[in-house]
Amino acid sequence: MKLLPVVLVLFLLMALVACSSGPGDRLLQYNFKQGFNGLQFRLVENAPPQEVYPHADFTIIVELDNQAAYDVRDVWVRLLGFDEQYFLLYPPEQVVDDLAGRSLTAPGGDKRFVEFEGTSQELFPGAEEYVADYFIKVQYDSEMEFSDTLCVNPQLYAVYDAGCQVEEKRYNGQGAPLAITELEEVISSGTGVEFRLLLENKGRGKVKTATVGRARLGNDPLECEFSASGVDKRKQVFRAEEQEATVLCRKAFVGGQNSYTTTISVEFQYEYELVEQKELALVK
Amino acid sequence: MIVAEDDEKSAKKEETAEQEQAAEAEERAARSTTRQAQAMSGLFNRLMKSTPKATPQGGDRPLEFRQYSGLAIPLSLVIFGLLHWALKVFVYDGQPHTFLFISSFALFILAGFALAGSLERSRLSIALPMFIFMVWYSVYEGNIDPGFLAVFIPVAGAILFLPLLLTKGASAKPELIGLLPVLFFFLDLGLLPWLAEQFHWAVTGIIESLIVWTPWWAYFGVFTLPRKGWADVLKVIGVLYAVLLLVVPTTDFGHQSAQLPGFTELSAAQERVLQKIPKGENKAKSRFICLLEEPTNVEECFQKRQEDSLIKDICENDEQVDTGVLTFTECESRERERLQQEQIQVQGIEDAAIRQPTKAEFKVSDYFPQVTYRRADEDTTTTYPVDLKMDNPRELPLRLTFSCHFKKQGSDSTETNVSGTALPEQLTVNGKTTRTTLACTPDESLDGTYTLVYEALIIDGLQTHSRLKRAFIGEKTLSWKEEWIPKIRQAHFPGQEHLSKAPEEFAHINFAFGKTLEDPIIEQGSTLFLAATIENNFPNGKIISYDYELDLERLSSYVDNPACLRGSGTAPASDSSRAIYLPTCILTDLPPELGEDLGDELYLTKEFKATLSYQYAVKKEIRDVKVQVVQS
Repeated sequence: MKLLPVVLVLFLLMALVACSSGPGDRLLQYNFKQGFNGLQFRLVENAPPQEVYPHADFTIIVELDNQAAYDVRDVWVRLLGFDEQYFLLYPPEQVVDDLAGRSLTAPGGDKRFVEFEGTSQELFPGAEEYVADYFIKVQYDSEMEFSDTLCVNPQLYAVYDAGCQVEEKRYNGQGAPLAITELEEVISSGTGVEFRLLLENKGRGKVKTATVGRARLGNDPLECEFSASGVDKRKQVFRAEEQEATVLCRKAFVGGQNSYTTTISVEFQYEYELVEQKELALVK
Repeated sequence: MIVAEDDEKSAKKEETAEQEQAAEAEERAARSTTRQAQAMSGLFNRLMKSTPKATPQGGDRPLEFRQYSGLAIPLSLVIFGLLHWALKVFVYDGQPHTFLFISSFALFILAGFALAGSLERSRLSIALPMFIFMVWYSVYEGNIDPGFLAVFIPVAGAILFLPLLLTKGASAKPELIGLLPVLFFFLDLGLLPWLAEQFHWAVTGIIESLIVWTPWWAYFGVFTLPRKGWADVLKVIGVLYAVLLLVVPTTDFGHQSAQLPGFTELSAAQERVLQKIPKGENKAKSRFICLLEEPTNVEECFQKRQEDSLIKDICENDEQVDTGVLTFTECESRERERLQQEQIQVQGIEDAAIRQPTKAEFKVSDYFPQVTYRRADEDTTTTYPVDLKMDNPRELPLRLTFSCHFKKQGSDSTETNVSGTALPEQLTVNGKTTRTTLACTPDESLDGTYTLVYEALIIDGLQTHSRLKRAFIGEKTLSWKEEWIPKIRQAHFPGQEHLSKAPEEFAHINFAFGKTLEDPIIEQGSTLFLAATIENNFPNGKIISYDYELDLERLSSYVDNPACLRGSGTAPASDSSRAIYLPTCILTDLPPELGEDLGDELYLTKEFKATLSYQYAVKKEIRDVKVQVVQS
């Protein structure tokens, strides 16, 4: 009987602790650097309208929404393919201020609206309508950071090493459309370790170039380069139909090490491009 | 006692005889009932199924499928089909005629019989779908309105389903086969020319062979002939003919959808296309001769024979040769040069955005005096009215003059003309739609059967515009081009959008320029080739004279031959249906705004306009205008 109040109080305390963690706390725990989201864009409804009449002004408004976990810079928005005989747009391209990535302070990401003013011209003699197909192209620079904890076992044939196990790993993105999706560890006994990272474009657009930035294995610098690049091994130019590359990171062993767990981190800078086709009708 | 015994015996005999008679009568009745039942069954089987089975009981002969001897009808179809084709191509020259329509319809009915006989199927199963389709097409004019179809389809379905139900599905195949004569009917009327116009097929090669040289009904008849030695030979000849005729390159196809055409539309399309197809030697004959004479070089021999026969046909009918302005040899040289020019094919498509083109149409009313009478001692003349409807949506200031005359074919194939006076002589059209009645009065009395020819000459104000789209990409990297050129083609030039477009008016210009005429992507540093042709759209009309202008804006400064951008001329009188080839030129460079100024990222599309200003003559022939002279 005497214990009953104590138990009740303890139970209540536990309930309070369990139920009191609200969105803010969850947000504190949330890791934004996962998934493959990036910068997205769409046309604001009715800007432009579905149909435009001759000699009328109209506006094309592009909404940019950064859903990546990193800031985007040097953002260019271009409207391509208009025939000036039917639609005059000024200017046809614009540069936008940087958009911040998703974070604790901006969990929803950063948004911008880009406006293009246009004027329609006259239809071809006798024509009832003219449908203009055009492209919205958004180009930007951003970055991505990959990090993970893994096992390094310099002595492959050690029988009595009860340390960690080396294993091949797969990942679900680092909060950007360009992502490391696989990591393979190749150990040359007594010489060093080579990490093979598969860098893939998992977004809707195209990656133009990627550059390897700072890379570390624990506290030590790591030498990383692309397996099939040109003169500059740290920079890869991607072709439209081939949107993945392998990054090789090497580290030499300092003799007689046992297996150990450490962190690997590699930073990348990349240029990305998103293109969408739209149409605008000029009607009588 | 003996008498009583005799009486008893005779009574017994009578009873026995009566019993025997009754038994006989019963037997007769039973046999009659059986025969009736068998007859009904046989009749039903004849109507619905294939050859019925023999009755299980003996006595009656099994019913045989005797309606078709298997030879007479298909053979008639072959012979009349060939005659019909020969009349269509060589006598009526592809023009629609009531007689041709009636004969095609008769052959259609005959084909149903032939098909039924060939496959040993009942007439009803094959005739049903033929009948239902023709009712829908001719009575209801191919109505596809959902409300109408909601009623018609269930009714038609029930009619077709009934035999299926009664024959337990055995009539399904014959009903489907019954649509074959319908298909051949359309093919004979002009389905292929109509499809060629709708989908903008280039009418060369296989399409030309199918349109001009294929006797559809004769083919149908050949393949419904029974299996006899000589009939099989005919079938082999038919296959060989098809192989010789059709071994030519295929054409590209267009993409537009189309609505169901009527009889008149099909026939008109056939007439138009046949007028445009140059006549030459039968391709099968050329190929056969080349196979014999030059078996190692058949293709070249074939091309040469076709070209020679074509040139010969053109020059034999050339007005300038007839009147002595040109010799036959000079005409041949001119035509060979023109054929060489024709290697530069400048194609164009109809501009779908211009739904109301400028057009003129003669209409003969129901009250037209097709047959009139006059007394021999009277010089009365009849006035022949015809309606002219002019659609002028762009409200061009058009000025027209009218003329008419009466043509009569003599028994010795000579032609005599009687001039006529048309009223009004002139007309000015400003509005969007103009209707007027023209009246033609012969300048002298007529006697006999004539073809009345009306001619409207648009002498002023007629203009047709064409447009051509191109994409300028400036100077770009290989990776940009690999990525963006497919995107640009798909977005801006799907289907045949790379060709010039013009409304379906009397005539228009087709023009193109680029690295090749077909390539719409213009890159900095390429040498560009420009070519243009003027095309006459209607076989019943002709271009008299023309002025053309290609507005290339800033690009105009970069052409090497300004004559390719503007000029004028008169159309050749000999063959008004052929294209007029305009001078070609080369563009050696691009203005900066279409070239280097586009930088690494930008491209733009541009539309260029061509204008054809021309005089055009529209003709209408009304055949079988009869004036019968009555002796007083």
